[in-house]
Amino acid sequence: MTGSRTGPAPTAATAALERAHREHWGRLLALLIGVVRSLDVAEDALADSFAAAVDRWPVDGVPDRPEAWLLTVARRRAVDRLRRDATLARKLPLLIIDRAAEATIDGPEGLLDRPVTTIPDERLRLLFTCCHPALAIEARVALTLRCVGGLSTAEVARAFLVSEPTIAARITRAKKKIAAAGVPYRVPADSELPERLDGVLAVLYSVFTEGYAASSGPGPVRADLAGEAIRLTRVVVALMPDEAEAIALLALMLLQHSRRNARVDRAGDLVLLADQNRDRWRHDEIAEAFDLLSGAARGRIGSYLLQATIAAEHARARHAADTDWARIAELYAVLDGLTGSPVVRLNRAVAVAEVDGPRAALQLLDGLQEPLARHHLFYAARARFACGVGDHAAAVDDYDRALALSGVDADRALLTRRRAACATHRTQPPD
Amino acid sequence: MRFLFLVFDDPAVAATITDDDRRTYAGQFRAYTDRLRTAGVLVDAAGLDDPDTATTVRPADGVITDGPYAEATEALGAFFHVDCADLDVALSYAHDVPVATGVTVEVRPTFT
Repeated sequence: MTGSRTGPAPTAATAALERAHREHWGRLLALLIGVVRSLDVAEDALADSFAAAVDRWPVDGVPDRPEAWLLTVARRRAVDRLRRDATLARKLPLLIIDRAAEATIDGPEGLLDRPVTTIPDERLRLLFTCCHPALAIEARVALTLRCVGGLSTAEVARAFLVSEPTIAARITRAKKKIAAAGVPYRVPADSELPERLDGVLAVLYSVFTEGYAASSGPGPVRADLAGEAIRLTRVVVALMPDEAEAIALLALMLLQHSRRNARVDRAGDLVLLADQNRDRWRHDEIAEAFDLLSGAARGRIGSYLLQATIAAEHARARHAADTDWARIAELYAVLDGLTGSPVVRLNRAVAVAEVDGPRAALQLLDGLQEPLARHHLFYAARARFACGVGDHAAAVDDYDRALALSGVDADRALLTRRRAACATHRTQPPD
Repeated sequence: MRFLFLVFDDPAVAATITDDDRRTYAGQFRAYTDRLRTAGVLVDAAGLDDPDTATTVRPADGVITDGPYAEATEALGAFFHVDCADLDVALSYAHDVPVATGVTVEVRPTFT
């Protein structure tokens, strides 16, 4: 956020500011960038306008249209800065924007006269620019959260457990590259769109999975980061309502996120899907996901649609025993064929174990050890199957490998329990 | 905005190609250059002779050595200098650079 004031904090103004920041940061920034053609100048001007709001709103009251107030101040700041610093304006590597868009907004001066209600939502441009494949994936994620999501550098750093200077440097470098390398500020042409949209969705999903299955840290779920990813995906769905994969991704996130309260027990340990208290799932979110899926199912069969359909099968089962594993194994087989991903094959094996038993599942794991060598879930799954066919020695070895690779305390607790259960059989000969 | 496409060959692959391959590649190279010219984006283009024909000079002290600057696993084999609207347009052209020898193309903005 924009910082805190000392003294008595007028709560109404603070709450309105926080709300305006969450709701309008990305949209206002996207708009300003299109006008001033610089990520830095736009960001500074918008930050200044929020800082001005911190001073003014508690005194003058919250304006009727906070976003209009913020935009007016921000564009004045941007225009002032560009006027005052004419040298800067000349030397600045300007972002490349579409000629069509340029014609509708005749420079910073033109924008001053436009009523805020007629201003288009430019967040898609910003999103596609932040997720450009010419940027490193870590930079895409950080830049998207900062620019589109409006998180502060400190918040992004906290979310990824990376130091703030590291994230700041990553964002600065990415912004420089966008300007210097000629990354255009626009939504890609139709011919490039499917591939580039996949790239945007991949960034959003990686934000979500980092929140949902944190790769390190004390707890396995960071709901705030997952919630942020959902919020950004809602923006994509709202702006591209015909993209089935975007809708499917939103449904997938909602379905996974709906289990957050049941996924960790009081001690902070991870609770497996089968053992979760399904009354604690967010059934309102599940219902929304089902609605989204019934719309998306008419579109192309993409990987997110299949994953969301699988998640929906789990959500549909009132008790773990009601799960339609045969249907889930079928869906995973299609997804396996579509993606060829080792992780999908691993999940498919877990489903097949439920239908056809551990021996069939073990067969599906053939050839996965090399690609998943650093993946603790691979060894955890293989250990379970090995235990299931009575090969307790191999199972204990795999639990040890999984434990050596898992960085999350809650995962480790579960693996340790399972290893102990399996180790008690170790002295008996396999049947 | 101008971009340089630095086209890198894999010398191991380059060593194995036949004269027929070379002729085919030369034809593709010309056709691609013509396409860039027709589209109005071509500034300049050329293929480079083998790395072992290179001579390296260090202007600071005038030292001259035999061979290319860097002994890399991939060697610069050709370049195309283009002038187009933005990186996306440049990348779409770079995507179509003819491939003879396990080529990688580095796209870099240039300035004068």
